[in-house]
Amino acid sequence: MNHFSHISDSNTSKAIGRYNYNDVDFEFLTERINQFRSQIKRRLNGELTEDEFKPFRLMNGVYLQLNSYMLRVAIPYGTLSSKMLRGLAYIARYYDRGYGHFTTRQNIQFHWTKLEEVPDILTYLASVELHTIQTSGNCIRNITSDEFAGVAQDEILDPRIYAEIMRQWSTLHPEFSFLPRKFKIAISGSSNDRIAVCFYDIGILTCLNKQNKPVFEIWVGGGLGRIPIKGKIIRNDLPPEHLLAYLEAIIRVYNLHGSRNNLYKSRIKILIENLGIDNYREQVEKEFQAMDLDQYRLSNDIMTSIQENFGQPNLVDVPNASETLKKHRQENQAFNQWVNHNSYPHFHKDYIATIISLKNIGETPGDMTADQMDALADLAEEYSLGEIRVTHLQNLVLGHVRKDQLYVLWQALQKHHLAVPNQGLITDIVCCPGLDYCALANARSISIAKKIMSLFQDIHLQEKIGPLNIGVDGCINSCAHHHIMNIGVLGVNKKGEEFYQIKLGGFSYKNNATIGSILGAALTMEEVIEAIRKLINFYLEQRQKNEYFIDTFNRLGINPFKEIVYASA
Amino acid sequence: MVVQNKQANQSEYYVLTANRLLDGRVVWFTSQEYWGIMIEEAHLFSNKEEAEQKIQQIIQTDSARFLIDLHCTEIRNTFLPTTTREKIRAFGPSNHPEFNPRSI
Amino acid sequence: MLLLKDGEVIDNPWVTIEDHLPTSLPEYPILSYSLLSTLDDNDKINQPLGVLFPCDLDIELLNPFLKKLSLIALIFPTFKDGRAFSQARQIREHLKFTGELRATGQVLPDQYQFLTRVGFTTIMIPEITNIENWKENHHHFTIGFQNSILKEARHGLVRKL
Repeated sequence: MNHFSHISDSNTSKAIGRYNYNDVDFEFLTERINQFRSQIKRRLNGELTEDEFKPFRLMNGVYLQLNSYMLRVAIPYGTLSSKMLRGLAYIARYYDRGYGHFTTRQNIQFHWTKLEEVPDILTYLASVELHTIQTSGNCIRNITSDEFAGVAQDEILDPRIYAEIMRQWSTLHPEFSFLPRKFKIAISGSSNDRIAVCFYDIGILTCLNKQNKPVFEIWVGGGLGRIPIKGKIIRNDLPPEHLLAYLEAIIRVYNLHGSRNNLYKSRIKILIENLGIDNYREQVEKEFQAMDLDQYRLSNDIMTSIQENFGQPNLVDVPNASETLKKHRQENQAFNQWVNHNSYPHFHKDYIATIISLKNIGETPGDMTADQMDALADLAEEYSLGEIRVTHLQNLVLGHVRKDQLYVLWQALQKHHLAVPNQGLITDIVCCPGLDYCALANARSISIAKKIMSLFQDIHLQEKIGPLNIGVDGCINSCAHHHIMNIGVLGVNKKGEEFYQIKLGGFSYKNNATIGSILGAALTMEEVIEAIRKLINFYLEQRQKNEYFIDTFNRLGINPFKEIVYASA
Repeated sequence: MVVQNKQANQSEYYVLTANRLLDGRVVWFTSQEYWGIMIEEAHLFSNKEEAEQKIQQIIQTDSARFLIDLHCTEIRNTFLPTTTREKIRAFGPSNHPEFNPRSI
Repeated sequence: MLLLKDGEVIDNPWVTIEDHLPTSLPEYPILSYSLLSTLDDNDKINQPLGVLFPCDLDIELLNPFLKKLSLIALIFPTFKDGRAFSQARQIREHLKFTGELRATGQVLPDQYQFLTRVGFTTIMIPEITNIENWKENHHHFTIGFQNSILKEARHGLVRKL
């Protein structure tokens, strides 16, 4: 087979917003799956010990959790086609227990897979252009992006093209597959931060330089976990054509000097804290200057070869679309409420993006059933050009909805419990699987999230409270970002029993990025729910006009909040 | 399911548990020396040393190749593990009571 | 230990010397870096010379010895410690070393193409290993997405391995 014989036909309909695979990509996945099949065989016949096998299964997204194997599937830069989402529904239904769990890193996890079935699952996933490569392990993980890429009015370039380039480049990278620790990269094509850019190993925003040319602003050394650290800017004017060379330079310095003997000090953030950003930058620049930049340059040819495999949305002018939407909003209060909370402006005046909340009261945050996946795949096809996006806050987005069709879409979403009007409100809780599933967890998180959601289920109360985010983590790894949420809850283990610590005042995004402060001693599950009730009541009493929770907290400081929770106890 | 820790004054035992290599399921070491699905099937060791000795023996056998994370854990004589973690291993995730090994 | 090159077991004429320098060197000696760095006048050595270089030192330290070196052996303390992948790359790309680059320590067959793509030419493997795994992994992947020392034919980001 000639790997370079594929000639793309621009007339065939391509999935929009993402790279469409060609023969080479399918062939590569087949080789990868065959390799994993043989690794499983060697594990079973004793040629590989569990210690040797583990890094290989992790790099194929297979974790051993408490009750079963979990399989984590990458959704590169968060874009799914309807076909892919149906593929995920199929996996959920036939290889798992009828549902999947969306994570904060644009992945989906299936919690009940069997090791012996994983190669078959991977083969099925490959047929819908999905894989699990590097969704775990000490390597470059799934490249994440802005959920409003290709929609947002402030976008300078489409970050998904660069995210796809990074996906390919990082896949089985010969030099960077055995790093000191995991490595997470996120990119946005805008200079406004929607990706929590300062909390990634490498976070990338896009700006315009003085010549009005797009350049990348590169943040390094951010992260959550045991030692939360806000990243620093290592370079604010990187020409996009040098992206891969610069990434290699950053990661090479880390691969050589990151700690190899202490798990808790092995992330790049610790190395940069120790060396200082200026020293680190100097080493990276030295490496960068020594590299043969031509070999790494993202030439027009390379850009074109990636770009031409992306389907482009065919957006049309729709007479009176805005007026129709306005009329629907006036006629139906519930619809209006949903649009208020769950929509985002589109650069095209006749379109709108909508957020599908996966935070149903009484359900597990981020979970979606196979039936819901199939239903949403159909709706996306009908109303959003067959494209679905996954957010870093465990919700989904339909990016290109015609304003005049939004009302019909909403009615259909309601039938599948996918029209919860709570995006950005107190019940839109980010929650890790916690001790109900995760082998790393110290305490359950889903129960906490569900209790908080049910406490504040009245939508009028939620609206009164206003924008507020809560993250509930079952361990210090902080998958649910509790450090940088307005209210963070962290599960801790005291002699096998569950306790919870509260953090207040965190903020995820660049301009006001803040790591929250610990409120006080850890509480039991019942106490922590009561504490949150008191905190919210206190905020409602104290807030001044137009203040959100975070504003009131920043104005008053932590002490009065501490007083409220602990004084009367 | 019962996941709240009880103030127990009942006697304590140890049981051996692991996950199966092929499908990841939680299994418990029984008196008949097979690995059972339900914690109630588990052989009770009256002290930790005895349980750990058995682990050392099992590691020497071929069956150990098909187990991961073989360890011993403390339970009450009501077959209730002491820690929340082991309770979830024994009875499944609390957000899906229908996944309790008894119902599967 | 066996020595592997291009998927085949080959003879290993090299002898590793780590502790102290003997009065006369064997025909093909690999000196530990600490021994190499104590040679006061390495110009006197007029025979093939190799070095065993640790994974926690900067490869720039090899610069003064480069002309004399026919072989550089790098160390994987465990297969999970990937520092030598970057060292190999730097030795090839920055030092322009063209001699034998040898992987020692613990590496697994599954890493074979990673090793060759960053510039290793030979690998020391344990005798009890299944050679077939190494052979299979030597050419398992026919597609890669990165620059490599092997300078494979490329089209866009894709390389034909």
